[in-house]
Amino acid sequence: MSGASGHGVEERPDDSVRAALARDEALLAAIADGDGNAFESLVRLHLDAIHAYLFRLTGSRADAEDLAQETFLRVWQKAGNYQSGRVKVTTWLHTIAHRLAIDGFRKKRELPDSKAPEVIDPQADPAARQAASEQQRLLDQALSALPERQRAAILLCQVQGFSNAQAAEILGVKVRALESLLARARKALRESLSQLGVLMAETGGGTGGRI
Amino acid sequence: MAELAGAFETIMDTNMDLSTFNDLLDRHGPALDTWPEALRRDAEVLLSTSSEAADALADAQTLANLLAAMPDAPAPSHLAGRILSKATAADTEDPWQRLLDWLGGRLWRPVLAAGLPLAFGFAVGMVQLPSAEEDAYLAADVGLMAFSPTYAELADEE
Repeated sequence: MSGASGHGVEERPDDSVRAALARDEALLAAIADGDGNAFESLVRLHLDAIHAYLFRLTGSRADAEDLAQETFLRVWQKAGNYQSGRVKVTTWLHTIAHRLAIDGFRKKRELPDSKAPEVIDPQADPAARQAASEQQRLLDQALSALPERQRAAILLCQVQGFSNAQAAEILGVKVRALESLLARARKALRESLSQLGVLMAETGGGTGGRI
Repeated sequence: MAELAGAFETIMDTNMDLSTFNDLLDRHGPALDTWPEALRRDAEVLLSTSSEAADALADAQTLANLLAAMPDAPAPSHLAGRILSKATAADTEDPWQRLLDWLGGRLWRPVLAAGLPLAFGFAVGMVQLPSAEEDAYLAADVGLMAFSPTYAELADEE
C-alpha cells in the first residue's frame, strides 16, 4: 500500500506504520467533530488506494469514481462509528468501499460470485495501456475472468497489501474462508496464465514456457 | 557411517507431499516467511529435494511479482474536489438532517440514559394510587369483609 516516503532519515517500517495509523485515527476523530480540513487530508491520503481497488474490482473507471466518492461521503457522515484500535483505518475504508461495490453488483442483478462483465475499461488512458507489458495485459484478462469474491481476495492480499486477517475483515468472512478464496483465485490465475504461456506448466506437467 | 546416513535421511524426511505443498502455496502465497512455522520447515525440506515443488514456487512468485507490478490506477485529478464539494453541499442543503444525524450519532446514549428514568417516573406517576381517604374506606371494606358472615363461613371451610 502507499505511504512510505523513502526520503530523509530511514525509519524502521514499524515506526512509519504506527505513525501513519496514529495520523489516520487523529484525522477520523477530527472528522467526527465536523473538521472539513481533516476530511480533505484523509481524502487526499487514501483516495488513490481506494480508487485503485474499486477500479480493479469493478473493471469500470466510472463505477470506481462513483463508488470512491460514496465511500468518502460515508466516511464524512459516519466517522464517529470508527472504533479506534479494533481495525486499522485503511481496513475500515476498504471495508466500506468493498461493501458499496457489492451493493452495486447486486443492483446490477449480478450474483456475488459472478465474473466481471468486461475486461479493464476500454476508456483507460491509451498511454497507460501502451506502457503495460503483454504479461500485464494477460494478467488483467485473467483477473477479470475471476469470480468477484476471488478477485477481491487476491487484490486485497497481493495488490493492496493487506494481511489475510485484514482481508477477511474487509470481505466479512473468516480467515479460513479467505484462504480458500485465495487458493481458488491463485489456482485459476495460474491455469489461465499457463495456458497463455506466461507461466511454466502447472506442477505435474503441461505445456507452456515462462516469458 | 551408516548412522550418519540414517540421521541424514531422518533430517531430509518430510511429512509434506507435493499436493499438500501446492495447496499451501495457493492458500498462503510464495512468501514462505509468512507461513506457519512448522509448515514452512516442512516446505523447505520438500523444496530441497523436489524440482516440481521448486517450479511451483517459482510460478507462484512470478504471479505474485506480476500482481505487485500492476500499474497504478490513481484517481482522476478532479475526483477529490468533487468529493469535497459533495460533502460540503450535503451540509449546506440539509442542515436539519445533518443536525439530526449528528444528534443521533453522538447524543443518543446520554439522552437515553437520562430519559429512561424520567420516562419511568412519569409512567409511575400516571398510575392513580388510592389517596389516604380512599385508603381508609378500603381498609373499612376489608374489615367488614373479614367479619362478615360470608367470610366467616369461608374461613371455616378452609
